[in-house]
Amino acid sequence: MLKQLLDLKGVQAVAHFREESGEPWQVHGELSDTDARRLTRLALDFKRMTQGHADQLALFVNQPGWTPANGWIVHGDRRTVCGMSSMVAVVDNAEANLTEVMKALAQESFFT
Amino acid sequence: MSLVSDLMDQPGVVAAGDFAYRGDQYYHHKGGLSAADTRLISSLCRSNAAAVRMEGDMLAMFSRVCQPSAGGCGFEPVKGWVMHGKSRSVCVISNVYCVVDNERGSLGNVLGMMRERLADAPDFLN
Amino acid sequence: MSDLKTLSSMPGTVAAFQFDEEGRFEDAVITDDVVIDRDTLDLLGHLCVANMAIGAMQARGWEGMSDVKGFYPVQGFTFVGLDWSAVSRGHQGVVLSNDKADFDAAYKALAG
Repeated sequence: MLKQLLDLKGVQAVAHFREESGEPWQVHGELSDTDARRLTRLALDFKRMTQGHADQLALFVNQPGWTPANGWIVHGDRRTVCGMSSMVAVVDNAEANLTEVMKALAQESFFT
Repeated sequence: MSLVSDLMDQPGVVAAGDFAYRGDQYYHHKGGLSAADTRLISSLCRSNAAAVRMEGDMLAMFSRVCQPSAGGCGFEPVKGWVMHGKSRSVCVISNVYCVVDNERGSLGNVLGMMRERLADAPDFLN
Repeated sequence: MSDLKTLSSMPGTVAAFQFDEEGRFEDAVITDDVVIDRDTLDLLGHLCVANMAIGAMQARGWEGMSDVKGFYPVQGFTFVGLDWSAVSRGHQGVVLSNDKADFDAAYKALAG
């Protein structure tokens, strides 16, 4: 259950979005409708862009293990955004453990 | 005639092609690039298209004057981009790319042809 | 700045590296030169700088429109590949094996 990610320390919001449009499919946590739509749209954009960078890196260095990209993290001043598959989470830097959050997102995306 | 062939007939066009999926597949390619370079340029074009698409989305979401509710600025969804190099440029519209020699080619003609022929193309990132 | 040797000694780390403001390779401690080389680190430096700039653009735009703050200034970017990940902060980064990666510990260690 995606909602259970909110039980992890420091996780403020989580969302699952549609791969084709970036529209939110499920959103949990304290985000307005508008912010939830912005977050999932940006997450889809960032996912596509990171995937493109991973594909190029793999071609430039001719080395396996980089692509397909699994996820990304943008580390902000007080908050951080983590993306994995079609899931995205907003976390509080002071409280969250990023490894725990990334593992939970990976597990959630595996079973969704 | 396909768009890729028509682009190659334009003066100064060095290579042209299209990209599919994540850029590692393509249907058409013409020009003097090796198979490895073709795969690289189609992957690069797809990747940059995704980045530029995000910037268009951001203008629509975060710029007060570009929001759809304020009339929009017409940037979203982004249809393409041009990278101006020192002696060559890369143009992308939809899922078609074209490499142009800056001295011999006309970006205006190339982009005009691409924009006209790809005006109704479906969203290339899905 | 953190000590590259200390960074490279974290579990699962195959390299700790430093890059300039454009992402160009400056220095590295590589613990497994079978999986990573200086050219790859140079590209990863550029990838991290590019994504931090794009993340900063997102955070800037977001905070201008939303009440949810705390993302700007963006301080780091993590790229999660298929088998390898690159965690960056400022002008330093580490390359980790995903099966042993501790993103949180890596990001904290990069704070210096």
